Amino acid sequence: MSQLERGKISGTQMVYLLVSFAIGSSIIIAPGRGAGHDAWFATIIGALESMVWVLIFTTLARRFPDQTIVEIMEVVFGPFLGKALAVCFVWYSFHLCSLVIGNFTDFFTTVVMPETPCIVFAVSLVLVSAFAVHNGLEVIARCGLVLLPIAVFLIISTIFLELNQLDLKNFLPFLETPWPRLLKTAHNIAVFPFGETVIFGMIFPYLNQPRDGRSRTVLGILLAAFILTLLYLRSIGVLGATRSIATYPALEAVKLIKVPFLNIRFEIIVIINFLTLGFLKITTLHYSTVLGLAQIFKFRALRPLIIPVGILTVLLSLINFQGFVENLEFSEVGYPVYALFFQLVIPLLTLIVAVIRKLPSRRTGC
Amino acid sequence: MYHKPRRRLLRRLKREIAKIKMEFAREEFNSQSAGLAATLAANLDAIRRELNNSSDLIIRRFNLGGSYQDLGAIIYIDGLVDKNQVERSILRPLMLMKAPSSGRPDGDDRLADIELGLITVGEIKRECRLTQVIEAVLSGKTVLLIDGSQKALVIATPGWEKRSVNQPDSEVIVKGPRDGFVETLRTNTALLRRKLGDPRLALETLQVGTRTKTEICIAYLKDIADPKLIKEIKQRINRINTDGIFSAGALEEFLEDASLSFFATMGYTERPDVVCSKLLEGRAAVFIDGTPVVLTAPFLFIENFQSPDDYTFKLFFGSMIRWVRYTAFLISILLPAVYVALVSFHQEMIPTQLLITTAAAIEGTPFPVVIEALVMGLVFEILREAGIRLPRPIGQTVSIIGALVIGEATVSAGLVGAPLIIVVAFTAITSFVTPTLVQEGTLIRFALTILSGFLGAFGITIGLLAILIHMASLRSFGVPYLSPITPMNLRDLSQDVLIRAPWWAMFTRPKVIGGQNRARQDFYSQPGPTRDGQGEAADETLE
Amino acid sequence: MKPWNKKVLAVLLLSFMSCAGGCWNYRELDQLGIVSGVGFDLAPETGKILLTIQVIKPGEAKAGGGGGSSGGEESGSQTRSVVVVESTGATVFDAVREAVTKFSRKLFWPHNQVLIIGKEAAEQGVRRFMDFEIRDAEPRPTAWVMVTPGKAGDLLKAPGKMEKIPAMEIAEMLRAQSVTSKAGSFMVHDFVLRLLSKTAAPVATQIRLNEKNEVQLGGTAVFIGEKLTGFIGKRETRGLLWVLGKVKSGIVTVKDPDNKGKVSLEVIRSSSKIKTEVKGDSVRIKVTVSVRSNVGNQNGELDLSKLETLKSLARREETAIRNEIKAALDKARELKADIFGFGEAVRRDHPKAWKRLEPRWDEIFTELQVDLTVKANINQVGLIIKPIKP
Repeated sequence: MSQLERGKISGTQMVYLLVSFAIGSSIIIAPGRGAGHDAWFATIIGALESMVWVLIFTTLARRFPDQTIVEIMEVVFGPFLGKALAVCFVWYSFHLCSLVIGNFTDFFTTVVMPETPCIVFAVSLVLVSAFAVHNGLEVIARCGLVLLPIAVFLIISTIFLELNQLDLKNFLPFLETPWPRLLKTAHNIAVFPFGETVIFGMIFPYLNQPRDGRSRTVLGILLAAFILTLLYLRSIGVLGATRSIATYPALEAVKLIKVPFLNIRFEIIVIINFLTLGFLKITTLHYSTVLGLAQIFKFRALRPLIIPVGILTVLLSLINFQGFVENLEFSEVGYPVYALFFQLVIPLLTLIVAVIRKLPSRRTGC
Repeated sequence: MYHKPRRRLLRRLKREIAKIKMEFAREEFNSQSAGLAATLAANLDAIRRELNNSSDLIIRRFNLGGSYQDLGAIIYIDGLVDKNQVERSILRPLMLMKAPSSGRPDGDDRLADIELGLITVGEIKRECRLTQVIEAVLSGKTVLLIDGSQKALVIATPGWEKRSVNQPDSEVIVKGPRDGFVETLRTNTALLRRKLGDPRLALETLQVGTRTKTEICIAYLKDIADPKLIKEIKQRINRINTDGIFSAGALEEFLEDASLSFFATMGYTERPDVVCSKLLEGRAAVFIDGTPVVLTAPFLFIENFQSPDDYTFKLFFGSMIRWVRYTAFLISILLPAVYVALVSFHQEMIPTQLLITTAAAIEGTPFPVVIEALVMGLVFEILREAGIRLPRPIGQTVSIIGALVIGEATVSAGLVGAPLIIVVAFTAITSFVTPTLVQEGTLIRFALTILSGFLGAFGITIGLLAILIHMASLRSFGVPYLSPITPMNLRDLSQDVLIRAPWWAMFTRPKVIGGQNRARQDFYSQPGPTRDGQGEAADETLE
Repeated sequence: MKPWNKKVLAVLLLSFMSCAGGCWNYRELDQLGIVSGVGFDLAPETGKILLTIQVIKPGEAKAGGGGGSSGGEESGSQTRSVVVVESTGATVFDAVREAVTKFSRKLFWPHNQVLIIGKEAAEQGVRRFMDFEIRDAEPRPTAWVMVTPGKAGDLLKAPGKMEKIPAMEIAEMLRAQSVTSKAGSFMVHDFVLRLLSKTAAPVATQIRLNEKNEVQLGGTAVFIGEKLTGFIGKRETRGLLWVLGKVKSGIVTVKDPDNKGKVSLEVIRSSSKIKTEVKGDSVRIKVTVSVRSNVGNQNGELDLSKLETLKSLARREETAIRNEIKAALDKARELKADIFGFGEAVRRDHPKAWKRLEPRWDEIFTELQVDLTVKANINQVGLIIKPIKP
């Protein structure tokens, strides 16, 4: 096994990281716009759907407990084809990273600081994530342990602050959305955010017990689905029909909070909180990109790659989309198909070939 | 593109260092002189020469036990020994009495006879090398040489001026012991021994500083502390090759894992009770001769928030005061930054009435709020620095003048807004709640204020994230600095971080320290009346 | 620290230094014009949007600053704590930016609590105003929406009585109105929700200047789609609020069972439930309002220690409330506006039938069968049980 990462993280730390990863950017973008006030239900279905591909890539990871998904591809497909597929996979991680950064910079420039150029947000986020990546997986996981509980605490307290504005009538009629559309939305949610956890294929070998990978991923996805469902329930219950016209429903919901006796708006606190989760997602993606590249091209250390990858991510995030609407269209139409290739097709293909070629040859008993 | 010049620079540096190392080695070789000579005169000459005939060097020649042939001499440094004791326990018996002889006239045996039969001092040692003799003299011992012997007796007669054991000014507590360490190593270790009567308390002495020859003592409990930790500390101390160490701060920088971090990863205290409780938790303490400050390791971030008082107060108040400290620390690093962010970026977060008041107060001030906040922060640091260094009465005057004149006058002159003065003053007060974090807190505060001036709450978050990453990457002697928060350890968290658990419930030592022998006490130590009235029954039978 | 670490730090520092070049969103508090109220009218000739903005002058408006106790005579001093700016534009945003030409500060919206729409502007449609209110990041969706039969600008120019900032006084008045429930309070968010519904009619608080040039609240403005169709009075407003379950408090005055005087009942709590039944094309709505109230005051000499007296009082209260609701219902039918959101209720309960009913909802609404059930309950009678009578 390579010496690129010496740290080991515990299963709990991975769960924290995975939950932050899964709700990191979906918390602001709120996929599942298509399902209207049934979005919360679509989330549940989506989470269940994503379990299918979680099973596939974790099965793959269990066959090769001490190799990352990039290394597995090289073993399974041989040096040439394997490297090509691995590059595809790393591209996905890289592209996803730039998409998440794009989401956050868009969010900040629309909501908080319209006059500040995007690149400032992108650069500062990437710098901090580079700092974290530089310090290794253990440190990233430790940050997750601190940041996620704070975020969850804040999310829950906003829910409590809004209980008096919650209108249960907003959930009726149940399942108004026609099934085809509901399922399509559910699939969108399965792809973003839950399916994206395929990236953790880069992290499984660094678990204390790599065999825990599957159970921890499933647990993480369930927890994330729970939190997201809770958030959707809140914003649907509070916003009602306005949710469907809002660019950032979660933000609109927070804007409606009225603190008794204090005439203040404190969405910025919540926004900042979303940012910390987003940071974890960006860092995880940045890390897996760097690690993947280093493994493909046989680097001896991650360090020389961190800053160049960061710079490229920033650049890509700036040219990804012309504006929010293009982004929206991509995430509703293009992305569910595009991502499926990386989330489902590549792992499935690798698994099938591995089974056919009876790899790894010396099995250590599974 | 900078590679070439840098490499050259590096090579030059390496050469320099090699040169310096060689010099060190030569010096050491020179001083590694041979053993003592057989004649007294030669030895005395050698010692005098080595010590440059220093004026505080006292050499007293005398005749042993009334005989005119047997010459002897004691050597000591004036001021480092107890003269009374030297006279009473060394000079008087040597000059007036004759040692019970074993019969052989050999010089070395005579020395043994004297050691066993005449000198009434407890700590005594035989040395045969000149360097060791000189070191002994310099460290405050009396050396006895007799003619014809190639050995010397090194007699401990310490008697230098020392401070009495007082409550340390820097760590005042309300309810608890009032003793504090002093500058003398042995007094300090004695204070610890009195608190910790365990035979397994190990005190290992090492020496650092090629010139200062400072004695350093590692204290730990043999069956609790992690052996790897002790080994690591010893290795790190032995690695030090410098001419002098005389403060805990200097040693700390030589020992720390990340000495370029602005967080301290070794703790310090002047209180024996604190050292005692840290040893019981499996940590090690490093005593340094000449300073009352004792270093402890490993040192975790949360220890900054623990005070001995927490454990003497009732646990509810003790737990609350913990949270007060956490809050105070957060306020002390965040308040100016948050103020700047609120006033210049996120005005919607200020309640309308307060916004109007603040706006009215700020109206007409000439500088942006960030600049004001930074300048006022700087002014406060200057005032503090001036107040500390000056003699106490003048120091107070400085602070009063500073606080009243600068604070009041700048506001009434319309240079800064009054809310900012409140913010700076309150920040200053909160920063003193966690005295060990003042240095870190000040740096973080300024950094966050600057970031906040550029990017508001986003900037603050970026800054906090960077600090979090940095802290998460720190280790203190192998223990993650932020543990038990992250990596998380629920038992440790619930025992001593989130709340201060009752004494009887802290039945394990902190796991994160990684010592052996985890159990601290019986599982069922919760006090209460004896069950089933057994106690009363016992009383009755007694009657 | 390793050299690499230093590099990262250097890059961090450098990038932030580069940020120093421009503090883009940095806006000093004393450069902001804090908007306390905004009014939308139509410009007289051009038909453009006429924006009236009330901006706080912090120096004068500071709490406790200046002589506050001088009372009503010095109404001039109160107007000085705000500045009223007018500007016109094709859209609200246009007008807002236009305002800067007459005003030194950048307008700052998050603290605006009051949004007043003039009658003419409201009749032309209010979507454009609401669009600004929720599209832009600054205004808050919790601001109150009000409609005046006159010009919105006049209301914002009127001096306040208690507060230094007139718009804040209006907001306070609205909050205080909840003790009578004769004017509902509707946030921008509520209003937009109604705008998003195909059938429910948006409503807003009615505000006007009375003869003495005082600001007065009461009644409700009713919209169909985005356009104002009319106003309903205080009585009908409370009828509406009963159905919406928004009556927090209020006084219901009923006649004595003995016909000797009147009894005022103070509403403590009320709730409402709307149930729908669809049979073919006929829709039946069941509204159940439950009210808990206390006896507040009586003119007559009723002995309130008797359970029966209380019960008959409760019956009378029920009738009174039912009449208020009926009045509101009649008015709503007259205006053909589904102010109660009955359509939405049908949609929730019968999504399938709704698809059929929705296109004809206007007709259905006017001949809707509404069953009103009011359950009143009197809990407390106050500190005396018997009348003051020998």
